[in-house]
Amino acid sequence: MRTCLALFGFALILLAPPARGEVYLTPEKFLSESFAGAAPPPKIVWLTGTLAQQAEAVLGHKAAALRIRYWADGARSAWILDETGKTEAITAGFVIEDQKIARVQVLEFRESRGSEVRHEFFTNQFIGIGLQEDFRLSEAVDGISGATLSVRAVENMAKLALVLARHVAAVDAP
Amino acid sequence: MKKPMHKSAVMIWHQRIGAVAAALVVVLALSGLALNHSTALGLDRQHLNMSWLMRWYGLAQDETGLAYQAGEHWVMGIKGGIYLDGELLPHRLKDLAGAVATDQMLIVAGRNEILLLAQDGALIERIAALPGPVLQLGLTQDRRIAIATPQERIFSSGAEMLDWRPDVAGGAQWSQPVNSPEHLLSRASADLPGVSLERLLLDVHSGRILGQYGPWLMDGAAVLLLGLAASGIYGWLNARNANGNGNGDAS
Repeated sequence: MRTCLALFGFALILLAPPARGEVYLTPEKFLSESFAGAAPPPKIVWLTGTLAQQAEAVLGHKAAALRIRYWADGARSAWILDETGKTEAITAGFVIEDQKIARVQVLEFRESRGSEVRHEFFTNQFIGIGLQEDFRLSEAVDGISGATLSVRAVENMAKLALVLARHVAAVDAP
Repeated sequence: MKKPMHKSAVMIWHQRIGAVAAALVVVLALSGLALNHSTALGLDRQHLNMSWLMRWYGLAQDETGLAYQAGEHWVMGIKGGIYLDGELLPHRLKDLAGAVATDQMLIVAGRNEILLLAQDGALIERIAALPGPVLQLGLTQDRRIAIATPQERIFSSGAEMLDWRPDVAGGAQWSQPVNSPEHLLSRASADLPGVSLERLLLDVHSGRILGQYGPWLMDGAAVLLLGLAASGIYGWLNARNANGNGNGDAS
């Protein structure tokens, strides 16, 4: 009987289907929430020259796209970025204000494992964090056991958002 | 003298449920074991591209070799992969709906996304924020990008493609599919993408391989397992009581 119970428990564990392809928040809703219901018109920044090198430095590889769109209102900007966790892209939104992270929200998660990065206990760690000169985050972020690659992807996107926000702030400065 | 054991109705159902659930449990157990060691087994690096599997996954679009001419380039969509002049690009796009060229870039539309490409195929941007599913892609007379969506609605956007506005004037020249040049088709078919073994096993494990009702089948397996547990415990308690609290000691 004990063997039967053990086998039953094992089967139940196997039954738990892995999460994949979940949309937690649409980009439109994220932008609306991030700008008090009225998202500004989008702008684009091209990843060329020094900015492309900086993007490669924080991502650890060349950026997938040559240009990225963003939404900015004064010192506040929003970025919707994609980064591969293990094999699939994770889409996350970042709000940067005065060169510090004001909001992180995982919008869509397509990997089979590691979706814990969507929870606030993880994303709230980023709030108030900036970027050091060596392209490291100004404060350490606690990882999640079993979600190492997803954590790394979100951290890299956060660093990229800070790099991009710093760039556009310098370009747009009067 | 012990009474002969008679199977109760519960135990008869226990056996029946066990027999029905057995096949599903084997599938779940084997696929689960493989997925637990996915990286070690290299399941994510092995790809299958059998035609029946690709059709099952809906990736067998445009197998007839339809292509769109965009300026001097040919764009083909085969099994979810995008080919520029016969070369597979690292950007996937479902349901190719058209391709056009502007002075600055190539624009390739799928049903739900648009890819902006440099002349060498490098990805400039992937645009998912569209006013609706793309049925056709074209250029207006003043060289704006135009898309046709269901209900014959047409939208256009400037070269930067930052926003879309309803195009009441119409008059766009739509990108039309034609048969692929044979030499490009043969070059493309040598490098078809496939479905990873890990993805296939994940879909088998969750039941999604059988479509929208597959997960319900696996839910059924879960319910059967619960029934097995309940009837098994009931039978065990009955047998224990019949044997004098299960220790066989009649003192």
